[in-house]
Amino acid sequence: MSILIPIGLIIFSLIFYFGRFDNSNLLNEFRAKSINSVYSITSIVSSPISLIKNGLESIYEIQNIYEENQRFKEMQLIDSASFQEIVSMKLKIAQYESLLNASNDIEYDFRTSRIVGDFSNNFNATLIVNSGKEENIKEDMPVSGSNGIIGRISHVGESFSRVLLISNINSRIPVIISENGHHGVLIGQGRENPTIEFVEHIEKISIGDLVTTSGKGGIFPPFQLIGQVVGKKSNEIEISIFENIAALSHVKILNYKLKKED
Amino acid sequence: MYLSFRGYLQLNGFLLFFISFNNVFNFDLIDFTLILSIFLYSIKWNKSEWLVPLFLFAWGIFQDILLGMNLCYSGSIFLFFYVLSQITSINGLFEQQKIKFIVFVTALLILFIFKNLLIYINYQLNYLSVSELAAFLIVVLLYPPLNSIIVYNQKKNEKIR
Repeated sequence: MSILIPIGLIIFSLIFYFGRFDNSNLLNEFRAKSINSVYSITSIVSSPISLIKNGLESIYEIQNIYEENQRFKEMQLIDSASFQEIVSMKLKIAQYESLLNASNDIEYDFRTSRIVGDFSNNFNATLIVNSGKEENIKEDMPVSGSNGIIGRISHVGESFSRVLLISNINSRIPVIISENGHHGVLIGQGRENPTIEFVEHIEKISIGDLVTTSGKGGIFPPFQLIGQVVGKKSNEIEISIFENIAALSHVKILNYKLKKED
Repeated sequence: MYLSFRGYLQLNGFLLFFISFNNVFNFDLIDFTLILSIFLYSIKWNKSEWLVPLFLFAWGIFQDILLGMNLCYSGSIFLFFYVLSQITSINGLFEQQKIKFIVFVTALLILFIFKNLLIYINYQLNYLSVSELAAFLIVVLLYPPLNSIIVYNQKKNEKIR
């Protein structure tokens, strides 16, 4: 008779899973509220292992400091040239915008948060960051690294939030590909490289084209870098994202809004 | 295995400790849910045990919240291997290690196909990849040593009693 209990629970789980009850508001709220307690408990339990792991990583990092220093020196030269280029381009854009009488209607603000939990290796790729309602973090805020957008806030707890990554199987982001402005939808594949679907004139897209957010849908601000095209099939485009999520320790949570007219 | 109050505490402590591994390690090739399933399958549970499935279900939900998975995903995997362990014990297959291994690999294969089928149906996505297959093989490779340790410990404890 006692075997009926686990069998009953499995049947319940399958009905729950297939019935998609998981997406209800009540359960979403439950998830958001439980992030804090669940994460706090597991981080306390895993703290001895974390300490050992962090210690070993620190030794490895110290070993690499010299090499990194050399690399940064070389990059500094390249970056100074790129910086000049960026400044002149910004000035040009500002001039064109004033000529076209176009308004720069977006106001940015961001909060830097530390990644405290990295679960980016499974098909439901997510991160946990140490900012929550206490820091005015809200659902759907875009999240970026230093090189580009990596996802958006999906659940907000009191002091922790969950970031739904671009590679998450549930992630859908409207994007623009190439300078010609071809629109498409970036779909997470549960692994490293997401794909873009629903692109018209796919033949005009080339390997190496840049992919940015389109701003459609209102969640992501427009023209935020995501990645570049690395592969092409008949109806989908594979992209490689600029940000190496595994190497990130901090992220920027963007709070953008439309600028009010004076 | 019949569990005393202390046994229940130890089991829950072990489950919490193992689930917390997900917090520290983030490997493509190691699926901690499946490794935990090896333990759940290898342990010979008491036939009249009814509290353990409830604990497994609750810890499954706990893990799902931690990892951001759909609720009941991990719990159903844990319970699947728990039920399999009970069924093999009822049929007397539990003592025959080779058959037990074959049953485990078959169950893992069914789970693997089911998971990929589910992703394909829900998301029209072919999730099958080399790393996914490698993770599956690693669990198969880890089964014999982990099972031997558990079987040895259980026999040792039975002798002491």
